[in-house]
Amino acid sequence: MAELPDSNDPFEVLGVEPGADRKTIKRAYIALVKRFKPEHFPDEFQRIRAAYETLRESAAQTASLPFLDEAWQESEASQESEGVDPDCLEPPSQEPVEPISPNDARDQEEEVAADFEVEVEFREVYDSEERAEPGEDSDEPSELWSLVLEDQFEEALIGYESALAARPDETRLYFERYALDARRGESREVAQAWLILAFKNKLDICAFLRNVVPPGERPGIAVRDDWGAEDLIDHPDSFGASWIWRLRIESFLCLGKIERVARELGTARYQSLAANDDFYLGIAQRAAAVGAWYGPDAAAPIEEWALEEASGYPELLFETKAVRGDAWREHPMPDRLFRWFGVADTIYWDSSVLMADAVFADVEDRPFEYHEVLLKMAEEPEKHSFLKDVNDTLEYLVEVEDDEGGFFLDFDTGVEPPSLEVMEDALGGIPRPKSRIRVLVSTINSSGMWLYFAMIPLLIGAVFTEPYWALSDPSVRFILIIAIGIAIFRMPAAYRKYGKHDAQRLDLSTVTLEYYRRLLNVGAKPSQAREFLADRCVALRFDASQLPRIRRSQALRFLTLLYRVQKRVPDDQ
Amino acid sequence: METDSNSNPATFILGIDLGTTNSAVAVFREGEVAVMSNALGESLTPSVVARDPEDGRVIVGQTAKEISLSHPDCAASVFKRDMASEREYALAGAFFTPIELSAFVLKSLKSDALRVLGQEVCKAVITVPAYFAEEQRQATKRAGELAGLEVVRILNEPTAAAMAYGLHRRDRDGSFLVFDLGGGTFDVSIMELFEGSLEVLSTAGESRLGGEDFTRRLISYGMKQAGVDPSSEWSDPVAFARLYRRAELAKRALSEHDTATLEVPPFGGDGLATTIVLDREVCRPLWQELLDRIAKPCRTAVRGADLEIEDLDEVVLVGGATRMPVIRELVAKLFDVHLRVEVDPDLAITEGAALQAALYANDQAVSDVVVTDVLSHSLGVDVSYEIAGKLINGNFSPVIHRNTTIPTSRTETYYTIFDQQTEINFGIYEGEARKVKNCRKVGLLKVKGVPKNAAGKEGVEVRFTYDLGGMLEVEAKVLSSGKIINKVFERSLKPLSDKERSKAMARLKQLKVDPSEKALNRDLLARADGLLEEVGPEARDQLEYYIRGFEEALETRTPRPIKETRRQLREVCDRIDEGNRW
Repeated sequence: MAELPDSNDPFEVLGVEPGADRKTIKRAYIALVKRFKPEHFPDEFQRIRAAYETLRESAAQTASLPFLDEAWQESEASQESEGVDPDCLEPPSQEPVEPISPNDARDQEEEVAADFEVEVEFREVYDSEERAEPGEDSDEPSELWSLVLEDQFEEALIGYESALAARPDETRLYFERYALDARRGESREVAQAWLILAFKNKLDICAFLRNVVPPGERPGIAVRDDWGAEDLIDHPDSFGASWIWRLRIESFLCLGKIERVARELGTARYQSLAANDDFYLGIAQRAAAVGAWYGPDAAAPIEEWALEEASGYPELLFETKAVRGDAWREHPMPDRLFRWFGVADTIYWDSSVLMADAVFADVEDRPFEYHEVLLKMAEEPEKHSFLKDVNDTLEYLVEVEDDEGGFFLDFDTGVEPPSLEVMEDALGGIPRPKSRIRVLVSTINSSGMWLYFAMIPLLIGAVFTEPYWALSDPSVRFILIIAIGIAIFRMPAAYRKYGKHDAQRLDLSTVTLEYYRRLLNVGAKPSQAREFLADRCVALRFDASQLPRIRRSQALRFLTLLYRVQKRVPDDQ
Repeated sequence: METDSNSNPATFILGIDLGTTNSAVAVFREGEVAVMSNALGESLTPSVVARDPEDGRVIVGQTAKEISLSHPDCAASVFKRDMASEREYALAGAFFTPIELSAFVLKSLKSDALRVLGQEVCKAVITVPAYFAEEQRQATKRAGELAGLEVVRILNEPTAAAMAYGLHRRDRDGSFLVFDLGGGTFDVSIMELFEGSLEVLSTAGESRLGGEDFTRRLISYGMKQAGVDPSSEWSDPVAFARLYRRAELAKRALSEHDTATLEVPPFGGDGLATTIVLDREVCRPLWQELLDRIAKPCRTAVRGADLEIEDLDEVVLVGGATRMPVIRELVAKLFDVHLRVEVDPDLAITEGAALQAALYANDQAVSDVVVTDVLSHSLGVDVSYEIAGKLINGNFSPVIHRNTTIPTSRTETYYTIFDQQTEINFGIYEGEARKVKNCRKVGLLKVKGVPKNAAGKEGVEVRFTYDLGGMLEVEAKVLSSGKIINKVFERSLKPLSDKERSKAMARLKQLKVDPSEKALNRDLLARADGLLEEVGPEARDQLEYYIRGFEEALETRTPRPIKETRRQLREVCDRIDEGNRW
């Protein structure tokens, strides 16, 4: 039985030529595994399988590679016919339904990309959005490219090496280097590394691919899940800014696979970040990213898909929506933001925080913009669901207990609504004693330090066999008496302090005051503010020791906004 | 002893379908699958274990099934569902784990093979539902070991069925879906047949959904209609056992007829039996929830294979429950394709297991067959990550994703989260959820001796290796030192110590491997005894007469009268059974 080639190159392992189609690859694979059956050759089988999976993934796009030079020339021809001015590629966008009326260049492209129907439609959407600064990239192939076309790979390699060293800012060189590797039959990863490198050098390879390279020859990079994943690990949070993601998205879009954009990216993110993020969250963020770059219409199918995916998991559904809303927040699209929060139909603890956070972050950062949107929404009857959600959230918070620690907000519903007197008290900062026992305990705790101090000699005595040593030694006895004395001396002061307000009420009053101030800040009259407080949140009790500051302020901002919205809602709601 | 010069005794490997309701065993010999029939001459052995309260010996199969009707407290069935769980079954006062009970069944199958082949076979391929969890697979393996079988492979049932199916049509390539609704489990697998190779693309399912659930729904409906308190199941097990059997028969009758009757026996002794008429209109709402649960894994599997429903060429139905018309309707509705039921739904899995065994034995007849299977659940570790300065614990990070072709070996690298951290505990989990609390724990790997460094500076490469035998190995390598720190991986299912093993083996010795005739006699008497409780006075007299005659013949120990009276008694029993069944 012939040995399996000791190589990691998938082509060598399977014994197929680069550019082989799916069926050939599969046949080669099966012929091999019939010899190296998984039952008897597990290690060999795994290597064959890995090679097969690598090639199978790339087979879908390999089809374009053999025609690379051909299509390249074609593209040159098409550009020549159009003139070199890249602006010709800029389609006018006046038609509302089909925003881009196809011009000649587009026809050419469509012919090449006849396989991808979706792509055409989709490209129209994103092409209408941003354009890399045209003219920056030369449309002429570099002088080295002729070497590649003549299959003089060795010379070309040397040439590109020095060319890249001399002109690291030329995007085209990276692409040609990629194409060279592809033609040489290098593995996909090796070839694509050049594109990644271009990105790392801060070149807009996406724009280059889109503007200069005809669609049929755009590398179908995204077909591989783990493409660029390693780089992503270094930048897990560089959402939006991440050029890798951008390239990935771009290449998916080139292939016209909208669903894959969502699915593969979500999955890839999930995989590559070792579950640093949620699958759906990934999708949501991608959708937002796509939307940010290519316009909301482009993101819509992804969003729809993600929603459908998440529909089986109510918890996730809300989270996804909330996260999506959160993601939209990063882009100036308030409509989207609120739409996503508005459709959220399940109240999920984390999400409500997120929601509050998102809403308030926006209100503070861009008060005018978001406030207006919110008010506009409140005026449109069909948008009232958002307000309802906000209300539901509040009501839910009354009941919900966060399993990760303490109550978030606790509207102590068992307590009578406080009288105005109590309100005034709270707002005036003159809290009254609540319970004698509490006060006593607080007092002892406060002055207790000295009592404990006094205990130390006694304890030392207990450790050394003689229990009453401490009392018999005059100097120790002196210290003891002093300590007890101080404790007793401090007690009245402590009593006075805690007699006025125990810790909890202290916190309540500060929080309420803060809230009151906020209400006044947003334009409430003092009487209105008090009424609102009495009505809704005086019984609001914060456990200050458990509630992180940031959440407290989030909650307050949330309530403040609620007030604002409610006061502006038309009465007939 | 070698009776056949062609077959080397070492090459025989049993293919065993250890089913929820029925089990079967087959071997591959002389180029084809030979199903081993049991002492009663039947190829299916009910997966029922009973214990004789008098001599404490254990009986498996049809006889045990009969006992389960007359003495439910002495028998156990459907224990496959509780594989790897803590549950223990009481059999006439002695407690057995599902593993032990399965071992009894396996041992009995093994002795059947011994009887048919004339030689002892100590290796086996055992099938499990594809959706079985890691722990359940280990438990099945353990059961095989206890029964004295070296389990060379834990094979997924739908894969086995597809092998049996694929063998008949090697020439036609395409994708098909195996819909395996057995007694207690439900699996969907998508396969691709391409030039003699069978590749499982994806698999999904539910480990506690099967024909038994449909029966259960009928039972609870019957009890509700008859006004019986559901808790009576435990207070009057005999009546419940009878109701169970009747419900099962009614379910089967519904496959052929439009209506069936279900007679609910009086619970707690006195009273009259209530007869309930079942038809499809009554059953549909009862079963709707189960039918809904079936649809979901189907979609998951299709999606997992990266196919569309239209891409499927055929749907292969496997498992006894697929005989039910409601299931067929559902499948036809879900997949608008040709339904393929050529394979015997009961024996397909056994045949496939035997084929797989032949692959292990390097049989020439299957030299050009290649079958690859996939992992049905993702395997990974728990990780923490940081969000806004706060550590979020308990997140699941898959290392091997589901639907990965096995055997496979994958690595992931994880980093320390605290400064000066020297120890990392990897909880090994299985599942698809985001949080490990929603996954199943498989084990724990402790990595000690990580060099002290700032958080995130020290990485540990975790390697998961999953082989065809269903063994998961986990290995951790500290990146900076390049040292493989710890290979010990504590499974949740603890390996048996030698002492425990010998104790367990001793318990299994209680199995009574009856010579065929004795088993037959016993089975018949148990059956007749069971019937006595169900029949009316006239039939009872008649039945008792034949039982006595048979017992007298047994006393004489002369073969001819025994044979004669046995035939008579069997005829009477059959007649009564048929009369009982509408």
